[in-house]
Amino acid sequence: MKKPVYKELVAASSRPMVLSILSGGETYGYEILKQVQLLSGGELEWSDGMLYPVLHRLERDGLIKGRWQLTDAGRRRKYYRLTSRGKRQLSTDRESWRAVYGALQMSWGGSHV
Amino acid sequence: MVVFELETEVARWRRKVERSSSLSPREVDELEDHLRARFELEREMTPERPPARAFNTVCAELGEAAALSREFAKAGRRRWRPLLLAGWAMFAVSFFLPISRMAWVDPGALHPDLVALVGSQRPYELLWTLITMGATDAVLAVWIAAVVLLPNLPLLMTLPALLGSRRSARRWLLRVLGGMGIVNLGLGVFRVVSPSPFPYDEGAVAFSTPGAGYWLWSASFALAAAALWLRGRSWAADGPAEPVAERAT
Repeated sequence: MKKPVYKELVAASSRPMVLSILSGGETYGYEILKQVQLLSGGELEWSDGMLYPVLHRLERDGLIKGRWQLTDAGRRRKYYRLTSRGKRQLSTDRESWRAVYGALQMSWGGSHV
Repeated sequence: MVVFELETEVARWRRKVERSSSLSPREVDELEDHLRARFELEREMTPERPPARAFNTVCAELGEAAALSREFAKAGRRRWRPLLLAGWAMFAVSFFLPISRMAWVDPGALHPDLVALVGSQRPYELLWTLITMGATDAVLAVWIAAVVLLPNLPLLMTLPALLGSRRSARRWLLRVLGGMGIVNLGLGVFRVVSPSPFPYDEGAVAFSTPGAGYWLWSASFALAAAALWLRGRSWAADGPAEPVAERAT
């Protein structure tokens, strides 16, 4: 059984992960969590309580914007979307992560992979 | 046999979170939506599981109220701190503003001395006068220190919190601050409705109402109390989870 990705890396990747998911369109917290599990094949362990503070921090930083909407069941649900600032941040994050990934790939060469 | 009622349990969970955290109702709304969605999924995935147990699992996964509150606090700003800072700013500024202002003088003309006495009394001026008086008399100095310090002591005691002390404020301090704030604001309103007479010579009577300094000083206590209350809520130590009793469906 694979070891789960360690929490510091999970935390560091939380911003680009949420921004990437929201770049696909407006969605809400629970759906984001499901997407994270789906995209990572369950390897990124995001706790339920971790997501919302992350979303609120991104919203505070102006990278995403939330709005309340009524669901079919008549309950209120907060949907998030990417802002133009968030799009720029995602582009920067993507480049940074590619650089990290590329450097690691190069350093591992073929022998350690 | 007790039937599991989702709405009852959600309401109970909500009360618990609201009581033991500093989350806003909007933040709790969002968590409640998540809780319901997770519960529905849990029921779909494991229909054989008693709903009460599924609900407990989902609540535990979402996290304890105090822990959630701390995470939200980390993500956002500390709500109590700007409030306490504002309270202290108002407290400091109030020392340079008039305690009372002249409403009117009846009868007779407004005397310049009276304006100086009633219309421009500022706490720092009074303080300075009292200090110079106390410098020559030890007994008077002690009396002055008590008169000046005592009413302001509750607010001065919030300084450690402002400077970052993690020690929680005592409940009595919060009550004293809140009580003083409300009572003084109330007295201020009373004095506006019914200005206090100020005797002057030749039968003239001046009436004064609270000045900007008084209002700021009183409000600073109420703000500090609100800040301490919020601070206490955000650090509320949560007791062990209160599990939903296992019930037959």
